[in-house]
Amino acid sequence: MATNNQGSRAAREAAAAARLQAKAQQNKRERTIQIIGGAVVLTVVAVLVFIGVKASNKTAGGIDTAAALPKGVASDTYGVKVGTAWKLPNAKSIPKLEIWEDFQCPACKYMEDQSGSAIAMLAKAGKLRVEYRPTIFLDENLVAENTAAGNPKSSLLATMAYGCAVDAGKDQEFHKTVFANQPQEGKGYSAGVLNNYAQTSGITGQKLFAFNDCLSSKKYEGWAKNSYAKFREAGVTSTPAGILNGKALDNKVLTDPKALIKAVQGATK
Amino acid sequence: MKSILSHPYAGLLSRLILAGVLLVAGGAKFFEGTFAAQRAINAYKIFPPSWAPFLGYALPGLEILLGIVLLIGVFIRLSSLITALVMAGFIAGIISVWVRGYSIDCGCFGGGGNVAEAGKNMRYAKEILRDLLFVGLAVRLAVWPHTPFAFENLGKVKADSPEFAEVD
Repeated sequence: MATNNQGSRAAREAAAAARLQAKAQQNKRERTIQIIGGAVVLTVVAVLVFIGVKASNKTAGGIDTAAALPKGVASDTYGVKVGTAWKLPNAKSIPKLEIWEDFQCPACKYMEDQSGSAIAMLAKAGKLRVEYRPTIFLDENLVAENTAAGNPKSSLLATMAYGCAVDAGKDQEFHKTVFANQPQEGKGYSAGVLNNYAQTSGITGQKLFAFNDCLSSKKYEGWAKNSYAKFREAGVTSTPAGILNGKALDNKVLTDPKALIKAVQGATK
Repeated sequence: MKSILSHPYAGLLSRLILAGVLLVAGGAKFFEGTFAAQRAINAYKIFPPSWAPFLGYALPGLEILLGIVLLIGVFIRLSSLITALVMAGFIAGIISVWVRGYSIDCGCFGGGGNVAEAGKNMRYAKEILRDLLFVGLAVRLAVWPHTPFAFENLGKVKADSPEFAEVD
């Protein structure tokens, strides 16, 4: 009996030791798997961060500082400043309206049809510092439509032409003509049609030659893209977008001349 | 019902579906370019625009990471819990734009931004239902994380060994 007991005890102890060892081995296995898994996670994170940083550097540095700028355009905003108020001694106290627009955007045409002349009037009277800030984001949305119509990257082309019209001193006229004749969304603009708009806007003779040279040499491609980079930076999600003294205007106000004039008066100190 | 749900192969299916969805959705957003991602995030009007460049990479990056982890099958319980939280966050985001009356494309699989009002309610409802399904799969996986063909099984004892009951 005693020996038997001792025997089974020894067997139990041996079995317990074996279980412990098995458990330890298994813990070790699990740890190894967790370490490998952790390494995989870290590698994936590192790769993603690397790609992310690289890609965001590319767009953050999306500003081409060497780009040629149309007359009167400054590199802080790349916007086209309209109106007499900018040059007044008390310019800082006059309300500032920034307007983001894409030449292919139908809602922008609507806004221009409704409020364009009120804005021009306020600018002319020196009551409002107007800054048109072009964006070309619809080129990305209308790739198929623009290509089918034979006018790829129409927003870019129209914006480059706008820059050329700024140099000719007819930016307001040109801007107005383009929106007034805006084709159905997606049809886009050709260089020929933009040349017609330039003539309609009063760009003639030597200035028309210069305009055509400017457009065909893509002189203001860099400028248009820089302005677009500013658009992305600003976090604006749709156009038209009016920003009065740094505050986003409701589009209901922007498209209603009476409400817009009231808002400008309210912002006048 | 419960035994079908808790069956290891139902777990495998959930894991692969979630991994596929996360990789496709995360990949589409991650590689479509910064601007599109920023526009999608800004359209929600939840975070300040200055966060958009970071979130534009961080959110899809997190999805890709979760997708890879679930695909190979490590840290399944933890990663499916995080997935459930992320999906719940997306649902909250969609509900919040719905309640505030905006009409946006959720940008779930790339794209995003403001879109036409037409069919808005139906679209949001579908997106929420779809994400709820994913939350369900992720919760199921968090409750019963043991699935076949998972990398973490290598650390466990074979299913037919006597210790199996202790392990799982």
